[in-house]
Amino acid sequence: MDLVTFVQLVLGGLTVGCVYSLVGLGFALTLRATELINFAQGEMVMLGAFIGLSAISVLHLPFFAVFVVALIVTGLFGVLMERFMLRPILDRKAPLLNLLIATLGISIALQAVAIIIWGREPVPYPEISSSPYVDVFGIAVQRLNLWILGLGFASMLGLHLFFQKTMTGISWRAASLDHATAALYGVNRRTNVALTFGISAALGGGAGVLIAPLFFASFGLGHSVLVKAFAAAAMGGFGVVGTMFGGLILGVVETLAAGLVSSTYKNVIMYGILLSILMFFFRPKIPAGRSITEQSKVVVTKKVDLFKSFSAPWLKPTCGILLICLWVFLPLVCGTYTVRILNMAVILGIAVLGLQLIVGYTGQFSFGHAAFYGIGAYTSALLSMHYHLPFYITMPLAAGAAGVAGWIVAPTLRLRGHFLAIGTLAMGEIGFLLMINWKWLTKGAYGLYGIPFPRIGNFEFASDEAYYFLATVTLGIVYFFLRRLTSSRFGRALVAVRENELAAVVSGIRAFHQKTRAFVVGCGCAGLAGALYAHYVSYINPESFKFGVSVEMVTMVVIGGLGSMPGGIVGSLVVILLPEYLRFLADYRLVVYGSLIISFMIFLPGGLSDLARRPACWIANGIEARLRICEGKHGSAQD
Amino acid sequence: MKRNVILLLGMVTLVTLSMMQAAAALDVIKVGVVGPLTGQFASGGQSQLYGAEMKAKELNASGGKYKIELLVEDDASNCDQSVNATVKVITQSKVVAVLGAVNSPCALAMVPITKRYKVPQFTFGVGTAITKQGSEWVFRVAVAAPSQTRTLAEYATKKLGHKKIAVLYSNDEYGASMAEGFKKALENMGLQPAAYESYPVEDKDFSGQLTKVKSSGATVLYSTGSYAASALIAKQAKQFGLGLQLLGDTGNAHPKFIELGGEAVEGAVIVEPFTPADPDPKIQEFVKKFRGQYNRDPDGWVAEMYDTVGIIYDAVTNSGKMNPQAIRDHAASFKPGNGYKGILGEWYFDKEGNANFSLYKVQIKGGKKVILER
Repeated sequence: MDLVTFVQLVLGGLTVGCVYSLVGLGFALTLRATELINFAQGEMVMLGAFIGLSAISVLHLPFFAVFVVALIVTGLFGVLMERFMLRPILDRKAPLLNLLIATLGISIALQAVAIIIWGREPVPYPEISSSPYVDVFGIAVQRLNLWILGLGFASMLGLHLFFQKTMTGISWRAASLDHATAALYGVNRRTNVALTFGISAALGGGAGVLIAPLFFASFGLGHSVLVKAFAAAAMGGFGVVGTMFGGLILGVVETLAAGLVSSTYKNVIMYGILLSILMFFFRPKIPAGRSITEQSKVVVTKKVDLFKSFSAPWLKPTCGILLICLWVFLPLVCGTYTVRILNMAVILGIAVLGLQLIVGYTGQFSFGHAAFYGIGAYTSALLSMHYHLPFYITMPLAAGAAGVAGWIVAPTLRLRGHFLAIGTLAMGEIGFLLMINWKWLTKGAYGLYGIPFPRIGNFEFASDEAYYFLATVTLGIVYFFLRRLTSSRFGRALVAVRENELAAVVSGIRAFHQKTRAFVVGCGCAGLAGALYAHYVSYINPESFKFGVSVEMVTMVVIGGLGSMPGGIVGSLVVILLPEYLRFLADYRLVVYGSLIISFMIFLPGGLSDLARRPACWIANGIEARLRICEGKHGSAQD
Repeated sequence: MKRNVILLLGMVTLVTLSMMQAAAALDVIKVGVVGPLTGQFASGGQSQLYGAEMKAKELNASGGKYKIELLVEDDASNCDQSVNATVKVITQSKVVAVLGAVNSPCALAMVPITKRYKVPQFTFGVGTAITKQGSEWVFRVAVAAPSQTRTLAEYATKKLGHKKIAVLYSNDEYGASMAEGFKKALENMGLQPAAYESYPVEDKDFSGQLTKVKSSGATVLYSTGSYAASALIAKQAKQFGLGLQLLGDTGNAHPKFIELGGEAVEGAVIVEPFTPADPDPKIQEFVKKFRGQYNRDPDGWVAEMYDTVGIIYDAVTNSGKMNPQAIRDHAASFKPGNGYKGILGEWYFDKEGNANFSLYKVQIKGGKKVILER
């Protein structure tokens, strides 16, 4: 490669990297002020791009003015978003994970709104200047690149000065280090948080204006830079200066990797570097470093236990019989379509139970669960297609393979909090990329088709109704097994690790060992679910095991209720059934779905399982009052 | 408490809504349309819907005995959702034919379902495997990947006289099958692609791949994937100082490709089964009508779905039978010289259910498509 090309590549990398830095800074700021990963940050980019487009085409403003307008408008939007959607959740001291899911809801809804307003097709930006090229030392450089680099660096410099020189900036930094002490000195936390969201959104919006002329304005614009911007922030240890360099380095490495090494493995290289930086070179620490699931009301309350012990002896068997009747007659009553989506929900439910063990019980996190689901699916499909093994053999093998894969990557669990989130994300992406690139094994993007239906003896589980029973029975077995596991000594040790790792270690629990085992079991469940999925849909391709699916699984866990096994199942039912039943809303479907997710997080922070616990608590309160046990304690029931 | 009541009410409403089903009239031809209306490939789904919708409106306004009702379902390019939606329109709405999906993998995933329920499926997915599943219920209403790429490769080497051709493809099913078909076509002529590079679907910066194209000394670049990505590739190649002859398949035939690419796509050669540039008055009238309704040029996908709805309508009116079997048999009965005459020309399907049209080779000149040959 000649020097000119090299310089051009580096310059291109810097331009993209500059955008990663700006968006990543938004991540870093919100994370330091509220410890939240703001998924809606990507949509700020999209919003900025469209607002900029309107400013150019309607108001005919010059590019610099457009940039400023987009900064201000998206900044205001960020403040409003914080005030009306996130603050109610923050105020309830809900677990961070709830906030994270709420921002996910915002992101889904905003994308759908953008489609309604601006349409589905990408829109090009008008040319910014008449002569697109500038000659710099004999190299033709696009004027646009210079604009992006200039404005990008200017905003970063401005931000840096803001944090170093102004009183507001300094108090912001103080609060991000220790907000309790800062509050004593008169720093208002609320203003600070609102300010943070304003600045982050403005940075995203500015980045949007900068990249839209390069990449067009489209509703999915933010999505494409989201993951890499987050990686940039993580590489920089979520500091202001660190993130700036993180983004620039990431942009250059990415471009050079594609140009010099291999375009196919470009993203594998990038995520590999990210993981090894996180794992080996430095394990960044964020000031408070609390676990992402902290403060979740997880342990089944005493009241529910009380309710259980005082319920009439006939209640349990009757409920059991009713449930069995419901289970048997459900597929007969509802149509094939309902049974089909029920099956999908049940299959995902099995994977979600595994994730519940990892997230809800162990307090760990995984954004890569879909990869293990995929490993299970591919293992079972390949074994049955090439070696004609029966389903009852390939399914446990699939679970085993996913478990082994989980064990191999388990060292990531040494990461904490958000770094664990980004670590597992990178892991999941690498898994996906390998599925797409190992063509000799997985046939790559073509996927595998003609996966046989499961067969036991002469009976083939081909119909949706038959599969319903296969899937639900498997779910039942997994549920029973996990239930036993979590109430065993092992399960209680897990909860101990989650609640206070240090105390658990002092009590003789090998925390890391414990986490690894939970992770392996959780991944095994995902593998099992993957096998069921592959033989059900009979066609799989890597697209089904992408990052988005992992996020969906986390949503299921949170909506169902952290640390509740039945909650996991209910969560998967809701997340699968809800969008299907909202289909009649057409374009507004995802707006409503996103808003529902946000309101779930605002009004039901404990998830749906919390809702189910309430009646039990009320009855328990009644019993308590009547029996006059624990005098003076009743009425303190949870909200 | 109040909160719970609201939630409960919400759920009750949902359940009732889902139970409500429109009463079916006897002379309404129900056609399911499954494709992405959200997500990355939403514009493809939009073309599919526009084509079907336009023909349905025309037929319904023509005052015949039968009316067409489209049942549109969004799959967000997610194959699980495509399959769910297919099951929904077939078992709940009792459609007599299904259009879709837009993405080949999803169309492929739908094949076992339409086969099981014996409902004809019409898709413009180009993946070869779709019609190789042994299902007599699936029809490909587009030119399959191998024939498109063969035409393109032959035109580039024989007519344009290029020997060094670089291939840049998206690493999804569409890009991979096109690129592979093109490579095979080159190999049949004793050539090898000068560079053969892929890119992740979400990517927007292709400078790395273009560096390899540059160092390969290629004179032609065939980029395949979404039209937005191809337009970006064209722009970035120009920015890189690469003066390449661009080639494109039907994926780039969308009018947005020209709008997004601007000057960078000048001179690009594209193959497509339908082109708004054809001076044929029938086609010009179609183009004018489409422009009036949707304010853009129609692309091949629009035309394909427009004709498909025509075929379904004809099947029902000719046989007088409103059932999936009649529609399938009608479509399968077309023979060369005795097929359906649509906007794309004469329709007939081969044994596997593939339609085939001769492709236009068009070139983009002055922001417009100009026909080179057909």
